[in-house]
Amino acid sequence: MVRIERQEKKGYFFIKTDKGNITPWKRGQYFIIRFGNNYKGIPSFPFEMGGETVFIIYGEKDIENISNIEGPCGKPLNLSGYSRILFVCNDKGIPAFMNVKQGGKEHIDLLILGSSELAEELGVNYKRINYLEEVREEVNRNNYDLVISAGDNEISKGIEDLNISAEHIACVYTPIRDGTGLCLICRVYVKGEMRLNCVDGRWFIARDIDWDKLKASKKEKAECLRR
Amino acid sequence: MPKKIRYFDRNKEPFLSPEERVKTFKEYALGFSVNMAVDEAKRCLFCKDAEKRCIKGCPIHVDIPGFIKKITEGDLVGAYKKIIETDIFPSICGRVCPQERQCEGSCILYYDTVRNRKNKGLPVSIGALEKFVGDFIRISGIEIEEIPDPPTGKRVAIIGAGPAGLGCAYDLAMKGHKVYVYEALPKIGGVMTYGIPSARLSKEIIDYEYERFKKLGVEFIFGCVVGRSKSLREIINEYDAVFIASGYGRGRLGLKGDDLENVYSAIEVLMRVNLFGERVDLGKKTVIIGGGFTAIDAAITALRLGVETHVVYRRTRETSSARQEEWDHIKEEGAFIHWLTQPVEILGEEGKVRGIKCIKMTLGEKDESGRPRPVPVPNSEHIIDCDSVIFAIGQDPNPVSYEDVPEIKRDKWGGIMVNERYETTLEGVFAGGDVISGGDTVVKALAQGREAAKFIHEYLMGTK
Ligand SMILES: Cc1cc2nc3c(=O)[nH]c(=O)nc-3n(C[C@H](O)[C@H](O)[C@H](O)COP(=O)(O)OP(=O)(O)OC[C@H]3O[C@@H](n4cnc5c(N)ncnc54)[C@H](O)[C@@H]3O)c2cc1C
Ligand code: SF4
Repeated sequence: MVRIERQEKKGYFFIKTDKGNITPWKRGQYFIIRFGNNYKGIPSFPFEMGGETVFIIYGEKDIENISNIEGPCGKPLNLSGYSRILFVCNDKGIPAFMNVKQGGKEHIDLLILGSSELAEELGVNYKRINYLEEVREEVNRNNYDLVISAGDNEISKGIEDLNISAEHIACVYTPIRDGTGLCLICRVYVKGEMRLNCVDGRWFIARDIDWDKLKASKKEKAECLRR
Repeated sequence: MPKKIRYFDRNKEPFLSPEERVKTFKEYALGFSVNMAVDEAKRCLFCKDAEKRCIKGCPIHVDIPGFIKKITEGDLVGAYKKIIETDIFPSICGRVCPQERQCEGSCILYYDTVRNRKNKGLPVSIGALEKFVGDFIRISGIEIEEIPDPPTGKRVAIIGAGPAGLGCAYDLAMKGHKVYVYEALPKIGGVMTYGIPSARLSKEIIDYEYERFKKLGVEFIFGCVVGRSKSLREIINEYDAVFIASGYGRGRLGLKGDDLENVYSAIEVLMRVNLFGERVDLGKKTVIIGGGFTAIDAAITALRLGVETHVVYRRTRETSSARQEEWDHIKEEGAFIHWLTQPVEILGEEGKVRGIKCIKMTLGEKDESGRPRPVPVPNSEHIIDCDSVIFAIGQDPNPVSYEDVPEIKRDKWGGIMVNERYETTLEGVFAGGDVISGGDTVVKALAQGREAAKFIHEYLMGTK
């Protein structure tokens, strides 16, 4: 059974379903929530809450009409070899954080850029920052060896521009349609080669990404790019 | 009295006018009426040696005179049953097969395949007759019983619900095996659903065929990207045999400037419009690169989105792999076709497409494929202004389902290698369709799926 909890004022919805209804996922994998007869699809990271699998969808009007929950899609995120991990995101990156955190046992600190009603609602421990430069201070102060960024390509690009000493893995946001690697709408240029965010992503070493080309390939409305 | 041979009075399938059809994604070929179909069927000479002619020309070897005879007798159920002995999708193949190169190209009225010489007439309209029979059964709601053999207790997994996967699923289910089809997309059909526009192939037909499979007890697992949602290795361990039919469907780009905004793979445009019902913003004028089925389908789609549509192709109409009549159709609908034109660079401004630089070609010596090789005409560079570019230059394999299983040997392009029994290099794993051929036709994929089913059945029953 899929349950939908409206949080209209906050602009997002919770989609909750019994864990058993969803194919088990690995850390970093996402699902595509499809709506209506046209199977319009929105990628979303799953996480667990109270024995249920939860997806968060922002501002979807057709929410009652879920036709399919497909996945898990994308490559799992492997964090072995890192011991001090910092996750940086905005409000929209919280589901990605929950997914990454729950997918393994490592301790992961969280910095959120700006305020986050969602983090409050989920009771997540985090530190708020107002400027991305604060990431550099945090990395230096706490000797993080890995920074993971999510929520928005601009945040990831901004962190990459800081030239921090830690490795940086970014969650990439592109439109995604089939999730199978057929249509190329989600192409990302990594180390000069075309990769597909839907099947090769959504996690790439940030310094390898061609951020300018990623910006140029934004052919969808902004809202599609933010999930 | 000897039968009068009707060489020329071929019945022409009625079409919507170009002005009407360009406004709609509904099918433009309207199909034969009963009278037309019976009259066209009567043109058939029912050649005794048809297996050397039209039947041989058909990649799945439909008993063509057999089903046409039934039409002349008014037995459409019999005609349908005759076709589905070999081709389980009459309505689909009747629409999308390039018959002029297959059955109709080998019809004695048009070409004497035994003496290998051209005849003077027009072929029997085999495709339209096949479509008529399939449509009659579907629209009239007549139930054709398809009764599977008793259960064997064997379980088979099929990766991909395109024509190859479906062909294989059908025969294995009929043999009493339990078949599970893993499909990444939310619907069956593969390219027939997400690639071929509904103007050429109504999606109602695919929905109808889906019901047939459900009745046979075939289970579909939609939204499962094998290799990501579930690994192929897990599937291999869970089933008695596996058939990989994941196609060759990854879009392809490949020109300087292809990273600009408003550059699309044809698969993206087709999939977004056909499967997801989106309006893709192609601007006012688009240029499609390519000369095959995919280029035609991209043009059909762009025209219906109200976009000025140009197709650039480096060869000529005669050497293109698309159906000849389709070129006429898109031209009638307003497409501009630039033959012997090779694109060399996509030009951009502020990250967006503003035009495409091309060079004129001329035909030179024959290449490996036997076709004259196009060679550039010096100083013939020119620019076609446009707001978007669509690549329809063929597809690449999509290895996601099998890339993590190195025991399955791949060919140099990344497709799967099989032997004559459709066996891959890993025991119990078979493959067929575009993933082994590198891109062909619906009917060939279907034929391979069905043939592979025969060998899978033998493997399962230990009668190999
Ligand atoms: C735009 C276009 C138009 C065409 N028009 C014609 C035509 O008019 N006539 C004609 O005869 N031929 C046409 N063709 C060619 C024809 O469609 C193909 O040869 C045929 O569909 C191949 O069938 P298939 O079953 O091998 O693969 P496909 O039809 O490609 O089906 C493969 C299926 O596998 C699924 N899949 C892929 N990877 C995975 C995975 N990892 N996990 C689960 N599922 C997966 C895909 O989603 C797809 O549904 C056209 C091709 C294109 C691209
Ligand atoms: S399946 Fe295709 S090639 Fe064969 S008879 Fe039918 S239309 Fe002709």
